[in-house]
Parts: sequence; structure tokens; C-alpha cells
Amino acid sequence: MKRIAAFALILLLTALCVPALAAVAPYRTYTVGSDGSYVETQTAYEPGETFLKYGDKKLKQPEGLFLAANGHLYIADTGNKRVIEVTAQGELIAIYGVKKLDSPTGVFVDEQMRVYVADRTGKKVVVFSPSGEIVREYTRPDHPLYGQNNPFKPTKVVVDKRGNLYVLSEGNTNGVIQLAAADGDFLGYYGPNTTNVSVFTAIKQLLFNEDLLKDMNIIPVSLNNLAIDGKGLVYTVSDKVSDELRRLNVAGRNTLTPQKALSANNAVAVHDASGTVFTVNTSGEIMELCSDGSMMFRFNAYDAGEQRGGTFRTVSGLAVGEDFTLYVLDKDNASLTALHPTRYADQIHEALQLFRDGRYAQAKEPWLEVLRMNSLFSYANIGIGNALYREGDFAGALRYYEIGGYKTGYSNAYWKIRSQWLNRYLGIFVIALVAAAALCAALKAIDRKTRILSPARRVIGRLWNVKILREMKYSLYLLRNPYDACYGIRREGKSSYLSAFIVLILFFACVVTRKYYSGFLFNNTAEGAFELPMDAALVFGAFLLCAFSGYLVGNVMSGEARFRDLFAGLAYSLIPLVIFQPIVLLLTNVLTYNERAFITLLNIVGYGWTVVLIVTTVKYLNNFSFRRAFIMIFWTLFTALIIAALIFVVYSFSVQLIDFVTTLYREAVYRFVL
Amino acid sequence: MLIAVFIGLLAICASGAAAENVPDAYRAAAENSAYTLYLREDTFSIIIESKATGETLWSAVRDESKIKGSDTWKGYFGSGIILEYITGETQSGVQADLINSPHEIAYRYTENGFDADISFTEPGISLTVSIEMDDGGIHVTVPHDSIIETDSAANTLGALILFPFLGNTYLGETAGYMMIPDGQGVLVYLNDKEKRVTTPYVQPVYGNKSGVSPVTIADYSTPIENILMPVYGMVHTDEKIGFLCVIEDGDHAADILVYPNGARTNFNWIAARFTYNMLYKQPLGPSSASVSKRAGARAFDLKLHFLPAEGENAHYAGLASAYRAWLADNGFFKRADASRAYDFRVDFLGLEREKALLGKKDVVMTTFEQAETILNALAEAGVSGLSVGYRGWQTGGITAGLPLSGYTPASSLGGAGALNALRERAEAMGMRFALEADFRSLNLQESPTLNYSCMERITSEEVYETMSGMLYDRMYTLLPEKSLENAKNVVSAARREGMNGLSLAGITSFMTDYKHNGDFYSADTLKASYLALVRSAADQIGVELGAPNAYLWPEGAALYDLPMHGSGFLMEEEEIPFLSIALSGMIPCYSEYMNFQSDSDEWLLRHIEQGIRPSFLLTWADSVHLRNTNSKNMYSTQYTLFDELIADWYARLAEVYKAIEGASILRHDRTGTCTRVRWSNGTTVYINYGDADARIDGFDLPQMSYKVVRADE
Repeated sequence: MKRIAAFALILLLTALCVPALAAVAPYRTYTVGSDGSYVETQTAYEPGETFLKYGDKKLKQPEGLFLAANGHLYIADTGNKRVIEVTAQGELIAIYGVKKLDSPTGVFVDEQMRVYVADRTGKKVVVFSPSGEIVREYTRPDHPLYGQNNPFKPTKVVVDKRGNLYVLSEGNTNGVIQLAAADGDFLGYYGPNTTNVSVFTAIKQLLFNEDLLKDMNIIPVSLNNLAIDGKGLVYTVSDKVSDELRRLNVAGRNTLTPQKALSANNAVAVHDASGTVFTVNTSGEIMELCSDGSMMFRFNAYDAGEQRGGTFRTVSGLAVGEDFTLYVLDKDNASLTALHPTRYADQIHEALQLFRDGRYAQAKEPWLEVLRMNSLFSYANIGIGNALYREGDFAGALRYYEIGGYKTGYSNAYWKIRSQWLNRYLGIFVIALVAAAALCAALKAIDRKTRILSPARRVIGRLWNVKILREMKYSLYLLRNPYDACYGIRREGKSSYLSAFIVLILFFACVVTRKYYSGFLFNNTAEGAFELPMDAALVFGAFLLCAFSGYLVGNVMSGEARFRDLFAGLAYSLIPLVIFQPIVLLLTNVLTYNERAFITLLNIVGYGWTVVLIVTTVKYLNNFSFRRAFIMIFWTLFTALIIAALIFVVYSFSVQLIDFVTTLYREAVYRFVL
Repeated sequence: MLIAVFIGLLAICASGAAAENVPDAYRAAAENSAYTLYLREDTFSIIIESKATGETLWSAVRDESKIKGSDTWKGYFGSGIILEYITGETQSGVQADLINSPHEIAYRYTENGFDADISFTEPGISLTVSIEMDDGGIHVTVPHDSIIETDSAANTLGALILFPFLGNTYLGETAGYMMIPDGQGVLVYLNDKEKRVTTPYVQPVYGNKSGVSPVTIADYSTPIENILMPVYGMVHTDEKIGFLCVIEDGDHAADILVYPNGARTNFNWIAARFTYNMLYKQPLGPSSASVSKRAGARAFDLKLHFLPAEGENAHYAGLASAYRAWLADNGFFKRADASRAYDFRVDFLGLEREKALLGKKDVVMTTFEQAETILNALAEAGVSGLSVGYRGWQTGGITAGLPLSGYTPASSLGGAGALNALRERAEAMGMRFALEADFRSLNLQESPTLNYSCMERITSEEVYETMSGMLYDRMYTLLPEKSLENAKNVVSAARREGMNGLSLAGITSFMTDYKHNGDFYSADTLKASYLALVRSAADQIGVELGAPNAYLWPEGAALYDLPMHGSGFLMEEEEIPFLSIALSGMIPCYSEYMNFQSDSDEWLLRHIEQGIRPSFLLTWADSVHLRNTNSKNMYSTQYTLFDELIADWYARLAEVYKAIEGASILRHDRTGTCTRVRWSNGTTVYINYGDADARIDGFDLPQMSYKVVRADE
């Protein structure tokens, strides 16, 4: 298509432009804090000018946007069946495809300034020369691998440096259609989306016959948009949770794991120089991610009907300029809006660039400036931590890594600090140990001659005469000889509710301290998120439920255990955890990731021993075989689940009933009394 | 007397007859030295005509051929009064006007104005609108006792709009703008919006009434700025005529309506709607079921004061200057600390709380001793002029320590002795010192026994604000009588301890109707209660007001936390410092915190432009410690991050303020990226916000810079 005849006349026609109101962002901006949660931060992008009309025509349901190397924006003005080339200042430069395009929804411009247009209902990709003439059209491939029933309704298109086309087609869920540059041959489906296969779906797939499987209609989620960077990496976005944003290499493999992702992404743009990725969903939520997938900013510019500047109804296109200006195309509002980076965002981009180049020391100053503006900015803390680590200030790095929530860096820095500490104090430590051992040996020798420790032994002996302490001591016997211990519990009354409850409290203390006071590297609980009542309810509730269920099931299965026996036996079975967890707790505070195997091992031993004790306790207390014991445990867990579900159902019904009665009463009062 | 009135009217009629721009259907009804007021009796519509230029402002649509739309809109286009009434039968709102509704209207002319007795026969509601004109402008009053409802059970007055279309224009036919008091103030140009704006601006004066219609702001949106000033205006720039309307009474019951073309009609119009009675949906339970109910009534005298402007004054700076004069004449600066030399505001955050394994624990951010160290350091750095505020100084801190019911400095901050020492030290250095006092907020999760002191919505749930943070999710609202009681205790105890200042927050920016124990209390009650509280405090101690609604300004020595922006609605095409211009030279004003701005350079320039003083929030401890508290949004506060910047700004701004000390802004213009501000002492300040160098009035301004030119330069 050549440019329209009156092309020269419409050049320089000004657009209908809404000026930018000074620095008012109607949205809050968030970044990621140390615990991975969102924290509010300064505005990163401020609304700039909004363009609604270029030349004498308003935009109409535009669906595609591309920022070309010459700085011009190309808009697929879908409703007006054209593609327009405009400047960022709103000047109309050229119109492509008048009376030649049916429903242009995607646009791309290559290095030779050829304009590729995806024409959805025209069912083709049209290529225009820079002067506006049609130079090529790509239609539906007739290759058998394309699929007999797969339609070709191009919605988006990008082109790599070799000239190969990557096309998204409406109704074709197989992935990106790759077409050869030279002859338009179908090269295959590139980076297909996978299907959502839940556990239930997998079970159905095992059980269903072919007819039923057809009805299940398991198809991959279709891609919504795509972009390509200077390295030829293709970025795709879709509605699917696990594949909302992907960066595909030449082989079509995903190389990006976003730290955070939006749902229902509708457009993606890449800042070529830095690899920074921007995604936006239909409701105007915009996210900026570093090339490594770390999230920098997120803000929701959705127009909830208030019509505040810089908000959007249905975002259909996104582009990013060299200076990080974002251009957002809104289909429903039929507008193009510029969002300008603030000084704050500029500083972060500058620091990121230095960071990416490995110039950590130079990046330190910009990062410090960022931290001055927001001390919770995770990436800035990590950046300074890296700089300090390079400078050998491991203690400083450790602090920043902790605030930044960067555990690998923390582990490395801590390892360095610990090595330095060991180098300095290991000798003293060994001497102290040897001295302590010698002291003990000397004490023992003296005791043998003079019985100096006899009074202490007498006191301890008397302590074991106290019933509750004797029972507590007996709980340890379960570790050595479960059979005898269970016999003692069952027949000799060597346990009590009190002793069992004390063990349970000790177990609870272990759970709580492990949860909240583990070292930074091994702690998965958000700092400050103390939920002690909930923890208590869970631990004690679950224990009681299991003990009660076990008692019920045991009775049904003709077990001999009384509730008291089962209660004590199960509680005593937790003793290995009570012993091991404090050691684990201590180790989490002194070990790094390099030695995490020790912690894993201790956990396996602790939990494994507890499970063994539970099984043997159930067996011996009920006088069951192992087989029956396992069956009883299975039914116990099942019963506990049923009881929990029952409690939930009763609770839900009660709430509904109360709501119904309240509504009835209030309606009567408000209608007839007040 | 009657003869005098008759002669006066004759004179008006004689002069009015010569008006070329006024149709015959209108008669001259009043005048002052500059304007004549014409009245069309059948529709109660008016025209204000400039005697000097003959330019006019119409309250009805000038060209009736442009009238299109439903009867409802035709009422707006022509009638000088729009009445909405609530029918008892259906509990719904119905419009009545002088175009579509049966009515009777009778005029009684006075010496320079008239009274209109208007009766809408269908709903059986009558009222009197009094209009007086003097050199100060046009005074429009609807006395509350003139409103008569013949059968209030059947029909009751819902809302009233007077002269809704005054100054109206069609599409982009007339150049000019409407001035909205959104935050600092914004302009909506009278250009053709080409259907771009479809949603009108409808916002209540003094903010959303959360006891009536709580608005849930999505956590991703920045809140809409409160309307602090009960004013609005319009200017026709080519004709150089405009007006400012000051809502003198009934402000707490008013909404500002701004309808640019495209929002329902092709006309641009701005008005105030006064709500007397309102309907609300009473939920019947957690489900969506509800019944429509009528809330109790508000009782107030509606008073509007139109201040016409022409020539050079037909400009937003002229309107702001007129508002400043009106404020001064009406005693709004009677307690203003006009002698206060140029200073910065520095607020310290003392104490917060966070969860602990067992219960909660204090998070000490700045002890009183540490605050003293910071002040000493700032003074050494040359920052001698400071107005110091202290937040979270009480036991429990800034969120757990609410309600504030007594003078209880937190022992973990150093206790009363250390606080006194801090105050004495600050005052010895010539600084002002004030404790922040929020008498509105009630933390029920900390004080559950105060449930009976909680304000209720008219739907009977409690009035609360949602908080983000790990500890508390709601902040409730104290009953005004309880607020008053607490304020008395705190103020008297603070005085005994030697405190000289309080920074009032919370009540200063809040307005609503509410319920308690099933009884309805209108916003009239709350306004009177809060005014009494602030007045009582101001009688005993210096009071600074945080983000205050205008009716409280007369009691303030200074105003702080003032907005620097509008809300950024699509229709808002230019931000103007209307609030700063109106208050300039009259009362010390401090802006929002600098800490959370994304561009400190631009923020500095804004202060230079507006003559407003900057504010900082400082802590001794790193703000990282706040991350598990309800103040986690205060993400940048540590003193060491700001000390150099404060010293730098202070030195730079001191020079600027020396040049404008005691002066007021006369004129404010924008040219490209540059802004020119002329002050009453002859000083002109130029600011270039652009990324490129600029030249204005022969002065070169580098990018992001300013220049102060004194009168003698």
C-alpha cells in the first residue's frame, strides 16, 4: 500500500492531545520488600500526554503498538482499518493500509523500516515498504504440520534479524507460528504453551476412555502478545498463571523466571539496552522486571470509572522508549498515553545498568541514593550488599543482604565472617574445650577419692522420686525400648496426662522457636509475623484431634488402648523432635547454605524417629500387629479429616443461619418499626 | 424606606435598560459600583453584567437553540434553582425546577436586591431565596427557617442547587476555565473535550462523609484530595470576566459539581449542591439485601457569596486574591502567627508498635533525647528556623496510643522529663515545639472497652478507616463529645507541663453525619463540635492545624500538611497553587512531607513557586524498623539520610523567602515550562520546570532552576 495521495497535506497535523498535569500519579507504586512482599515506594512513572486523535481522525479501538528504531510509534488503529506512524509528540507522519487492511491488530517495524501488519480478519500478515507499498503478504501456511483445522488469523507479529516471522493467531493455541523469511514456509510452532493439568485432570486422563477425554477439551492457554529484543529473544505473555511471561531462546525454551507476575498479561515491551521487561494486563496493571526476573515496580493504572489521568480501561499495547518512557495504548479509551519515568526511577535504572555491568562499586552511590528515598527497596539493599561484599566489608554486606532478603548473598557473606571468626578464635576455642575436658576428668578423679559430688547426687536422686519428674524421665525410656515403655504406660500407670501435656508443651515450644527464631537463612516465616494463638490452636488442636480419632478408630478395631494411654503414647513419641529441634535451631543460626545437609539430616532423623515411635506406640498400646497399626493410623487420619470437615461445615451452616435470622430481623425492624 | 427602595429600583431599571447584551426578559434587580444584576422573574435566572465592559455571565443557557436533552437537563439549562426532594412513598429522589415543575414565585424587592418566595406545589415545599448586592459581591441566602414542607412525611427537601449554570459555556465556544478546589486547586479549560471526559467531578466539600457513604479506595489508587476550601470559580478569559463563589454557610453539606462538556451535556458548568436530607441503603445483613431509608435532616442557612471579577482580576490568581481578602475580612487569620519568621517543619516519629511472640512490643524510632541531638545538629548546620512537631510521643505510640486521652509521654522515649527538656532546648534555640494530637482516632483493638465511644455510620456499623500494616486493620472514630473531653484533658495537662503548642490532626480533615445509640447526628453537629474543640484548645495553647478544612482556619496559628497537587482527574488540565496564593502572606503554611517524593528538585521548585514551607518526617532509627508496624508506609525517615539536604534547602530557600517575606502573591502565570510569580512587594520569582534552558522576561533560566528578581533590581 502506498501512502495516501494527500499524505503530504496531513503531515504535521497536530493531534488531539491532553496535556500532562504536573506529577500527579493516580496510582500507588509498589516494589518488593525484604520478605518478598510488596512495599509501597515513590512514584516511578508519572502520567504524561494523552493522544486521542492524529490528523483529522480519532483513534478507534486501537489494538497494536510498536516503537521503531527511528523513535516513531506505529499504531494499529484497528477500528479505522489502518496503521499510523506518529511521533511521540503527536505528529502524524504516515498512514499505511487504507482500504487494504481489514482488522489490523499487530504491528512491527524491522531494521529496514518495513512495516509488518497482522491483519486478523484479513487472515494475513501484510508487509509495507517504508514508502507505504505492499511488498509481501503472508497467508495461511499449507504445511501439514500446521494442522488441518488450525486457523490463521494473525493478531500479533514480530520479526527477528534473519527476517523470520513470529505470528500469533486467534484460535490457534499451539504457540507462536514461525514463518521463514524467504518463502514464508511454516517452520513450526515456537515455544508452545503447556496445558494446565491438575491432579484431578491427571486422574481423569488415567481413567477416561478416548471419547470422554475428547470432551475434557484440554487445550493450552493461548498467547496474548509477544515482543522481541535485539538479541532475538522472544517474549510472550498469556493468561496462564505459570506462563504469564516467558522469554524464549532460539530453541523456544523459557529463560526467565519472574519474581512476581501479573495475571492476564495483555502486552509486553522490552527495553533493549538493559533487557528490562514491562508487562501490562488488560486492566492497566503495569509491572517492570529486571532482565534477571526481579521485580522493580508495579502499579495499577486501572480506571475504575473516576477518569483520572494516566489510568486505562483496556490496555492493548505497550512500548518503551530508550529513556524508559512507557507508551500505553488503550483500546476502550482509544488513546495513547505516555508515562514518564521519575527521577527516582531514573536513579534505579542507572544503578541497575552499573549493577548489570558488574560495576558494583560504582553502583553503590546510586543505590545509596535509592535507599535514601526508600530504605525498604530490596534490590537496592542487595546492590549495596554486593558492593560491600566486593570491598570485603562482609558484616556490612550481611546487613544489607538481610534487609534485601537475599539469602544466597547472606550465606556467602556469613560464611566469610564465620571463617574469619574461626581463624581468629579456633585456637582459643580448642584450648577451652581441652581445658573443660581436663576439668571434668579432674573433678571425676577427685570425686572418686573424696565423694565430693555425693550431696548433688542425693539431690538428683530425690528429684527422681517426684512423680511428675519420674514420669518425664520415663518418657525417654520410650526412645530406647518402645515395647517396654508402652507396657509401662498401658499396664503400670507410668504416665499421666500432666507429663504428656508437659511433653506437648515442650514440643510446642520447639515448633514456635524453630518457626520464629531460626537463623535468617533457614527461616521461612516473615519477620514480625507472630501468630502464636494460631500456632497453639494448630499444634494442640491437631494433636487432640488425632488422639481422639485414634481412640475412636482403636475402639472400633478392638484395640486395647485407653484414651489416656494413647494421649501419653503419642505425646511421648514427639520426644525425638523435642530433642533434635533445639539442635537444629542452634545450627540454623550458625550454618550457611554450604552445610545445610546437616540440618536436613537432623530433620530426617528427628521426624523419622517420631514416625517410628508413633507406629510402634499405636501397635503396642493396642496390642496390634504392624499391619493393623498402619491400617489404624490410616483410618485415624481419615477420621480426623472427616471431623475437621464436619466442624467446618457446621461452622459454615451456623454463619449462614445467623445471617438469615439477622437479615430477617433487620428487615422487619427497618421496614415496619424504624 | 419604601420610597427609597422604589427610587433605587427606578435608577437600576434606568441604567439596566441600556444594556445591549441582556434580553428584555431580564430586568435590572440590583447593582454595585462595577456590576449590574439582572433577573428573569419566571425562571429565577440571573445575568451579571460588567458596567465597564458590558460583558456578562448568565445563569441560564444564552442560546436556547442549543438546548437538547431530557426535561431534567432542560431544568438545569434554564432554572435558577434546582430542588431535589425525597418522596416518602417510594423513598426516592425527584427533581423540581422552574421549567418543568408547577410552582409559584413571588418577589419582594429590597434596597439592593430581592427576596424570592418560591413554592413548588407538587411536593409542597417552599423556601425564600434572598439576594443582596454590594460592592463586596452578590450574597445569596436561603434561611433554614424559610424552608417549609407542608407534609414532610410525604415529601421532604433533599438537595438544593442555586444558579447551577452561572457562567455556563457551550463546548469550546468561549475561552476560559473552571476552577475546582481539588487539593491546591486545578483548572478545567472551557475547550471542546470531544467527548473525552464523560464523568463529572462530584466531590463533597471537606472530604468524603464516611459516616454516610464510605468510599473504599482501592489500595492501588492514591486517595482523592479533600476539598479544603469551599469555593469554586469560572473565568471567561477573552471577555475578561469571571466569578468566585464562596460557600459561606452550609459548606459542610455541599458538594462541588463540575460538568465539562461531554459529561452528560455539551455545556460547561460548575455549581454547589446542598444536601438537606439524604437517602441511603440500609443493608440487612452480610448479603446484598437492603432497604432504602431516609437519614435525618441537616439544618443550616445556605449562604453563597459570588465575587465577580473582571479585567486583570478575571484570572485564577485574581480569584485567589479575592478569596484571600474575603478570608481576611471574615477573621480567618485572627490567630495566625503572622510574625513567624521563615522556617521548616520537622516532625519526629517517636514510637510505634509491632507484634512480639507474646503480645506486642514497642518500636522506638526517636527518643526525646535523640530528637534533641538531631535539633542540635541541625542548628549547628545553620538550620535555626524550625517548627518542630512530635508524632507518636504518647504511651503506645502513633497507632497503639490512640485514643489520645491524656498527657502521657512514653517512658520508652524518655518520659515527661525528657520531653520537657527537649521542648525547652528547642525553644531556647528559637524553635517552635508542638506535640501532635489526633483526637479523632480510636484504636479499638487496643482499647476494646471504648466501643461505646465509637461513632457509627447511619447504617449502624462503626465509622472506621482501613489501615494497612501487620498489627491493626482498622482505625475507628471517636464521638465528638469524647474527642472534646480528651482534648480538654490533654490541653490542660500539656499546659501544666509547660507545652506551648499542639499540632491537631484527624479532626481537622474530617466531616460526616453519623449515628450513636440509634440517634442521627448531622454534619452540622460535628462541625460545631469540632469548631468548639479547636477553639477551646486555641484559647489555651498555640494550635497548628494539619490538612485543615477551611472552617477551622480562624483558630490556627499555622497550617501544615497542605496538599501540593490535585487529584489528577482527566478533566483537570492545569494545576494552580490557588490555596497557596490565597494564604500567602497571611498565615504560615507547610506542605506535605518531602520524604516520599520521587523528585526532590521538583519538590523544591514547587515550594519556591508557591511560597509554602517544606516539611520533613525524621527518625533516629532506620525506617526499616517500621516494616512490621502499621507505619510501614513511612519508608524513608532516618535523619542521616536528610540532614545534608535539609541544610542545603534551608540555605537556598532562606534567600528566596527573604525576598518575599510578609508579601502575598498577586499574579501567577505559566509560559511553557516556566512559571512567573509576582509578589505584592514587587518581587518576581521565575521557575523553570523544564529539562531544557529557557528564557523569560529577558532572564535566562537553566533547566530545573529558579530566579528571584527583587523590585529594585
